[in-house]
Amino acid sequence: MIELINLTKRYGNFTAVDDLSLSIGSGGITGLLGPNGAGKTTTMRMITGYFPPSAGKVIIDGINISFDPVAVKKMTGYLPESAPVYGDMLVYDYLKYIASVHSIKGSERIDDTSSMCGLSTVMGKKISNLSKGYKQRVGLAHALIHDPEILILDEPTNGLDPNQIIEIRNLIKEIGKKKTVLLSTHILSEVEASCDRVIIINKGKIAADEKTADLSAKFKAGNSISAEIKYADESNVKNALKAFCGSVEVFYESEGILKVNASSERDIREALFNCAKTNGWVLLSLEKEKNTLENIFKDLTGGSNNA
Amino acid sequence: MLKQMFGNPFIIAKREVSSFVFSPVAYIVFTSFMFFSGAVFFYNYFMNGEASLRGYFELLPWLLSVFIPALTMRLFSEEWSTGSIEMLLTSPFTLWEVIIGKFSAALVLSIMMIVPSLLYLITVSLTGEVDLGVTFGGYLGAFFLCALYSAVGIFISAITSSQVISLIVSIAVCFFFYFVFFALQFIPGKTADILQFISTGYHFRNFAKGIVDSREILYFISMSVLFLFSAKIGIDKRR
Ligand SMILES: Nc1ncnc2c1ncn2[C@@H]1O[C@H](COP(=O)(O)OP(=O)(O)OP(=O)(O)O)[C@@H](O)[C@H]1O
Ligand SMILES: [Mg+2]
Repeated sequence: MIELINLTKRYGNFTAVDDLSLSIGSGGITGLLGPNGAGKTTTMRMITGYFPPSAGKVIIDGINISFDPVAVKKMTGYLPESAPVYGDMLVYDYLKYIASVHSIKGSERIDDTSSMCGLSTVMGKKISNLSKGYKQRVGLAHALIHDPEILILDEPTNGLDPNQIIEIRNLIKEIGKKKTVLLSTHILSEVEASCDRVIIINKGKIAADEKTADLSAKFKAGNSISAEIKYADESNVKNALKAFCGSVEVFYESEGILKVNASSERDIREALFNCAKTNGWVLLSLEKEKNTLENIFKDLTGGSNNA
Repeated sequence: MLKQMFGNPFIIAKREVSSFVFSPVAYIVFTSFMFFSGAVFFYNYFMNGEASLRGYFELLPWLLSVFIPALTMRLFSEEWSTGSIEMLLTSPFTLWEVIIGKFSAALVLSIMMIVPSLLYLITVSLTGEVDLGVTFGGYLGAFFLCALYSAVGIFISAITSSQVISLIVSIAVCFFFYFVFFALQFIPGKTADILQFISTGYHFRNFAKGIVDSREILYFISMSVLFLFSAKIGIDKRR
């Protein structure tokens, strides 16, 4: 559905998106994850035809956007960062205007979209008087009104309160069942909550590209523990744990205390406890590693993130 | 085909016109334009006993130099400053459609400013004789002047996100193009010919004299297209 081939964008000497290639099939939700300044917005602006790439190609449903931008724009819906909609218009007038932009006649589609985006109660309000969350919904309605096959959402839940975040996420998930959605965020939990696939970009390059489920299984907590053990010998611990752990790291932390990092296919805390009991070790601490995904993200993006 | 070319610009123009007409700025612009143009007409009419639109058409270029930039200042500048340009340019429009749409809106609004002067025309026709040639030429000239100044305003608005800068610079450019006409008498030879050619004042005067020449029409059309084309380049550079 979406194919980027060696996509590059330069601002003067600065390369914001650097030789990026990827392909997104139809259906499902893909998350574009990256720290501030990673090039998420720049990439989306090229996909939506806001500006042309400095080099490379954007191909949407087989059409090169440089050759037929209007055709591509007809089948994509785009919610830019901060949803810049015309503040001086009433919500209803705005939706009517956008419908006419897409040559949509009648009010049926306007009604459907507004109720889908939870706008029914504010249709008579001026957009500039809406709260940020509702403004965001108007932007979403803008992107959805022509029922596009492809939806590009730049930080769709940015600046919303927790309730609104959940509502918008559910809406996006619902849409993702039928359409192709690409959303950007710099928040990990966002990706975990709504995306099927995550593409991590940093400094304009792809740092990782995984199914969200795989990413979690690969790196995620549960199978990775750290423990502190007293009264034990380094080689003893290693040998004992090797039997049921995939990988074991043991080192002296301080006088008489060993630090153990281990990971395996399954949860090994119980086994470790039993092992300590039979060997007469004292288990000072035993912790399941949390949020490894967060650490992975940090590693991949060089630590410069605010996830 | 026609729908394809003009359907979409019409949608943009319609939105721009209605959003301007219902804004407070519109009242200020329309009423003060009426005030100034009316003052000149009735001053001439009652004080000088002159039953014609001559004075009105003489003042018109100056008034339009100020008031058309007030109509066009927000057309692109506001889009840039709020970021809504991103939604506009990712909608299924070509950039030309967007520019033509905004240009038509400016043209419609500026014609709306001039339409009330038909009242003066009626006043004149009640008490004296209306010179049809001069009147027709004057209105045709006014139309082309509106088109050119709208194009100027759109170009300036396209290259700045500040409405204030857009207003001031557009006024300056419109004044310049009119004013070079008056500078002519101080400049000798070849330079004067060139200045005369680019001067809106010179070409408008011919219209107002009742001389409708294809060269004048060509001048206004090509200058307008030049500014609209510059607006396109400006937007492409900036986005
Ligand atoms: N118009 C521009 N001119 C110059 N540099 C720009 C321009 N737009 C973006 N950049 C730079 O390009 C880089 C990528 O910006 P981009 O907006 O794509 O990042 P992002 O991933 O969307 O970040 P954020 O999470 O903050 O939205 C940044 O370093 C930014 O400073
Ligand atoms: Mg961004």
